[in-house]
Amino acid sequence: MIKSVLLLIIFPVMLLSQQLEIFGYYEPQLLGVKMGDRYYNLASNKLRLDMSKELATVSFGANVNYVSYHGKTEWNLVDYLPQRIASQIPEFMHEYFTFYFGDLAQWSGPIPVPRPDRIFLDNAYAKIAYKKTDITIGKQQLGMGTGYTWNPTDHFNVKDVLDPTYEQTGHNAIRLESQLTSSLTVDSYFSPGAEIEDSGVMLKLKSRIGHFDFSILGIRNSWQRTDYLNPAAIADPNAALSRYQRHMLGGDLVGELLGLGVWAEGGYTFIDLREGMGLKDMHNFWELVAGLDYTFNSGLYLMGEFYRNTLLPDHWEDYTLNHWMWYFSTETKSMSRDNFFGLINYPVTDLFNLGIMVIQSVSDGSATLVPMMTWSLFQDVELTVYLNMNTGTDGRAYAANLGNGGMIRLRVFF
Amino acid sequence: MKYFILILMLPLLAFSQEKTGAQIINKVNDLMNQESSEVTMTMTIITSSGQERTFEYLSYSVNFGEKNLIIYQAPSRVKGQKMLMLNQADDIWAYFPRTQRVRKLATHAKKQKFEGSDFSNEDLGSGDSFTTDYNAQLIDEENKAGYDCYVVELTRNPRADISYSRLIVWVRKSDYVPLIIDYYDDKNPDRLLKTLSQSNIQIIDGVPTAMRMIMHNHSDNTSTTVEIKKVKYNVPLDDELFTERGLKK
Repeated sequence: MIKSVLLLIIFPVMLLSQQLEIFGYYEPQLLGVKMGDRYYNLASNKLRLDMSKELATVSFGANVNYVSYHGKTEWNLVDYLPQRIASQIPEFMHEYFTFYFGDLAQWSGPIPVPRPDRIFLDNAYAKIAYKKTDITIGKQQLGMGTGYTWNPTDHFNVKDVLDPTYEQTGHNAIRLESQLTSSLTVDSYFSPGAEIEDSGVMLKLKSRIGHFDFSILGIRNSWQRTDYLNPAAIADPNAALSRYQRHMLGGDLVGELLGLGVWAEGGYTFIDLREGMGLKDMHNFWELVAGLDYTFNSGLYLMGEFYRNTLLPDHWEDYTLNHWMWYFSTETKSMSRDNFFGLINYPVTDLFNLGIMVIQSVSDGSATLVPMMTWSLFQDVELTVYLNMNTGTDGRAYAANLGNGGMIRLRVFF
Repeated sequence: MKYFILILMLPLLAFSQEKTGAQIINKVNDLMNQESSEVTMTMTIITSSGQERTFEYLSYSVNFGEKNLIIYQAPSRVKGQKMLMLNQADDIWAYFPRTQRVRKLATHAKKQKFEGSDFSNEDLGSGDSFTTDYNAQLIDEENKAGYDCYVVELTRNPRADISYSRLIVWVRKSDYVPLIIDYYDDKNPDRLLKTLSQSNIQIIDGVPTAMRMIMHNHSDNTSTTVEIKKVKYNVPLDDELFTERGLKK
């Protein structure tokens, strides 16, 4: 009897596990920062569990992440602001600039600035594939554009310049991709907001000419900006929020020219204030990314990418508290108007790569140097290590007084 | 008079029966690029320190090798990654399942190692490169690994953007299977970089197929072994599979 009951319970689980693919990774990570004569650690453990299943023309995908933080989990962003800006913030306001990693239930201070979740559903979607059309419904990846470090046409994600290939969180949307001809594809999404004006809509036409892929697109979505200079933010953070309607016309291309890999991405954004006080420096703006890369026969790989955003200041003395906070809280993709990303990578052995990244604010001349290595320790175990060294003077985007640091990350896949 | 003409023509007749390097390489090319194929294979990398990494792939090819799709099956680290190569690998796209992004790669990416192995992307997906990027010349005939072989030298065309200055290929006379290929340095045509050895040749769907390939890298002293587990030729494959949209499925 007991055997029969057990079999009855176990059988569906076995059946389900045979159909459902489960995979993912475990990722311990240690981040260190040296500021002056102090050294701080922030460690994290992340477990990502992916599930996927296919039933005829319908596939399902989902993943759940659990991240726990240890070490220095409270960071006050005032410590990282330039002296001339930090000195203007009254002492009693400093606690409003706390960035807290971890469980908010354990947090007794005032509402901190945007913080990461500890457990979250990253993606959960169903994809229906017809002969010429795919429809994806649910929380899904909406990464756009051909840029490596910056993607002006991606209105949902801001990449970490120190780690641009790290996966992004998913977004709720209905996406439709349709192959009209062998060389023409239509890609579109609708990402619902609380109100129809808050929703995101995108339409993209993609085609090919020779060895070039290119696309043109139009995007409309809502953009929320916080005015950290507004004193009303102290009593009610919502009072300092302005909501804008953002319309972008743009495109991207990727291909090859004279043996070099080349890509570009950009667009012009029209801004309309929907509600709030409005920001005095807000205006229509251009964003552009252009890059090239090359691999030598030895395996040596070189890449360079340039990013311009005309909404952002061209001179470091024009950086305000708002610019710094938008950058820290990823409301903008960079601090300054003109930026450069360079990468040199070399496979020293089959399992070991050495490289260096240079991230520079062309506008203010500061840069950060990021030597790095990746090492395949075992079949499914990968080690990544990088250091970052800021070179600029106080007030610049990559000022030395922001601290130097590094990261060690182990990833165990299953 | 007739006797005299026959004497004059004899050497010409004998010459016309001898195969040229180009003819031999065309036969090799036809053999290697079937109308379509579906292959399951494992790749084992052995580093100079003796460490091993094993990968499993599913590979589809249509239109006589013009379109290729490689799907990574194992290990977990790369599972679900895909690489699409069109126009004899002149257009390459890579798909990364965790970010669900497709990235187009320039042709110089062909020079990158395939997952750290001793094969480059160019070695795996270059389709009819032997006939389009090189000039072939029959330089010898000799017995290799117990088989009578043609020895053909392939010299890079001046305009070809490929990683090797020349190749020496030992082609088995009986079925035109290339048993050995020597790859020479881009800059120094005398410097031997890698050697590919093919063995365990079986007839699959009427096509002689090397089920085992070993690429030995002479400068790093590493080697990579590819074992074909399953292969089918001339299978019907949907063209949708070989599109950027197909990559995301």
